[in-house]
Amino acid sequence: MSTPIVIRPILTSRAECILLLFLSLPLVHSFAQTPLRVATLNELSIGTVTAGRTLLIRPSDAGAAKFRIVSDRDTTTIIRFFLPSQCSSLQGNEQLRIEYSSDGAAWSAQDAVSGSTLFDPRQPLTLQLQQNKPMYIWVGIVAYPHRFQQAGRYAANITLTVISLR
Amino acid sequence: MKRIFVIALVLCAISVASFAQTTTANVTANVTATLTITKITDLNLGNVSQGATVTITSLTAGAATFTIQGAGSAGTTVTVTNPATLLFGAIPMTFTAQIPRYNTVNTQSSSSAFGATTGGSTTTSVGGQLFLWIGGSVTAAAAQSVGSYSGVITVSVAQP
Repeated sequence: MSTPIVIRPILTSRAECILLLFLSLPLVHSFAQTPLRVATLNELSIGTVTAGRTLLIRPSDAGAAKFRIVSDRDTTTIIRFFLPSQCSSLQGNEQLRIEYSSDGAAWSAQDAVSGSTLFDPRQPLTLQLQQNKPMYIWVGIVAYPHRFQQAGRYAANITLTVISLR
Repeated sequence: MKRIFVIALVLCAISVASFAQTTTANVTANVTATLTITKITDLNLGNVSQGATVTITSLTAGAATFTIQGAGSAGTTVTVTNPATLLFGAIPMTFTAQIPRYNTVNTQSSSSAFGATTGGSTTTSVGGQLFLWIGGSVTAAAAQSVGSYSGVITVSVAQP
């Protein structure tokens, strides 16, 4: 016994096809462009820190990380960081504890940290972006090498994700 | 027609969905070990007769001893500031500096001399240790006042 297979077209009329084409234009448009451009302008350099001594890098310090965000349209964005809690030695056998304070980051529509607005990089931040007007973000850090911290070079990565809500 | 509206709704929902962009920044730090210097013993020149000279070299017992703890296998600069005189109240007695010696192990007999009485540069042990010995010499004048004379030798240490 056999069952006939019936294939029914999704779009049954020319009018439906045209309507669907128009409705899908925004989607085509959005895939054709990248509405957000996010760039790392400065890496975060803690510099030299002595074992047993805490070192603070403020957002306004030269060693702070710096990012630039540009949108091709006015948009609401959510800024979110992935912040590691430790740096690893290049040998990978030692960890350096790092933290971020509630005023450990800053944002500004100007390319100048002076006059910027401080925020907590551990929490998501909502920012309004204007079309093609860059937004700048700075992130500081606190390093806590313990007294017997092994000397050497340590590294980690901060990840910034910017979500545009359009 | 109902079907086309469902598809259109899905497409519209996708088209207004959020966009996300991500970037990363490297975090780097250079940790240096704590650098400390500790005096273990003072330089004791003992008794000096009037008109005589007493010398404790950096290679003999009685020299001042110091230990340094810092980064392992690291270049280390030792700077020694010697007094020109020892004092008994305001009365001076001539002090002559000796060239300090160093070793990465606590063995004075196999230590090496710096190039000058003001110290020099060397390298710490793998464990970050360095040992110092500093001697000195005093010459009492024939009419040197009897008393207890003292001075201060200052040692500073630095690692790049």
